[in-house]
Amino acid sequence: MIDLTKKDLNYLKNLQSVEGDLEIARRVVCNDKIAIHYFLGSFSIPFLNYIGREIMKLEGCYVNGILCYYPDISADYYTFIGAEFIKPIDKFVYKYFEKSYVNLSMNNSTEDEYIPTWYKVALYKGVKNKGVKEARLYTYINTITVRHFINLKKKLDKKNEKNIDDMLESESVSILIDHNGFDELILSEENPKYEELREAWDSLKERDRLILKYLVIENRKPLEIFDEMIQYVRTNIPIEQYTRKQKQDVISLMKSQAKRHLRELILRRRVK
Amino acid sequence: MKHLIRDLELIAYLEGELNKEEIRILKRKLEENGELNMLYHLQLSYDEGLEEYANELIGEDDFNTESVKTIAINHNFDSEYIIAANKKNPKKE
Repeated sequence: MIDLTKKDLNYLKNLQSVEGDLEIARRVVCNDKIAIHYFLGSFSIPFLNYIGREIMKLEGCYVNGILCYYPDISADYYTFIGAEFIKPIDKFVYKYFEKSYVNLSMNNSTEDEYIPTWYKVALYKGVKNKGVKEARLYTYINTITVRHFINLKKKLDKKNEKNIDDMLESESVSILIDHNGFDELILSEENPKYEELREAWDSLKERDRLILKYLVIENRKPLEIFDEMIQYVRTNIPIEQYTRKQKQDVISLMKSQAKRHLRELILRRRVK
Repeated sequence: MKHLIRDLELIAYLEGELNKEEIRILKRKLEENGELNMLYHLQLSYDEGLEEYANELIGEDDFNTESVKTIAINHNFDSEYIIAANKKNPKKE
């Protein structure tokens, strides 16, 4: 059994597993600087960019020449995800071991800052569905954060007397609503949105059509189709080195990508 | 009456762990709450975070690159540059 507490952060990230996620979460809760830097940075920025752009409807700003939407919500995110913030009660102990037993709150304001307890991160236990299935840290943090910002946006718009029904609309969301999130694909004229779906479907690459056909229409299992679908993958990882988990992830990622392509093709047709 | 939607149900949906019947029930509850758009915002933001892992495991997605190439062939670059320079946020406008 590998002791993950001794491993560096890159090792944990590359594990792509719940065990690695739990260790990352533990380090964040312990206020480990490297873990927090990663957690508030490359881990959170992708979904914060989405939230800033599509939910909070911000204008965005340029960071190193790239239009980004996360900076304007970073403070709100930190306040939400780091809560509660407390005065460190162990500062006496820490200084005691340093042989300097002083009351920091009396003579050093910088040392008297509140620190995050990361309560919501601490709640991550790596399980879902009554403890039966595993859940990844990213899915958990993404879920609670999106819900938080949707509620925040609703409150802001209500305060500004904006129309609450329209505020969370976006063309991409509207396409997903019209097509049931592509969780079912009905390629027949019974479908009221048949024409645009058919046109997008016909424009999809073979790989995308196959993965959606197998998983969504025929309801087949990911591992059943891995051997057939691996020919469409372009990485340097030798096929025989894929673990069972990676095989499942490959198929799941291909499915997500195919759904995104289908959505973008419909979007292009609508904006024409 | 509003339904209570637990984070665990949404997480299970995002990670593809729900069967078709469970998905239908979840969507019906969200629809009755007037929160169906929340599910899809979750889906879209979730997908953005998986891009790096997807590049690593299945290779870089050339869908947009190919589209950009097609657009570039069919467009007059001079006018495109002027339009782009005049837009503060081309994606939103």
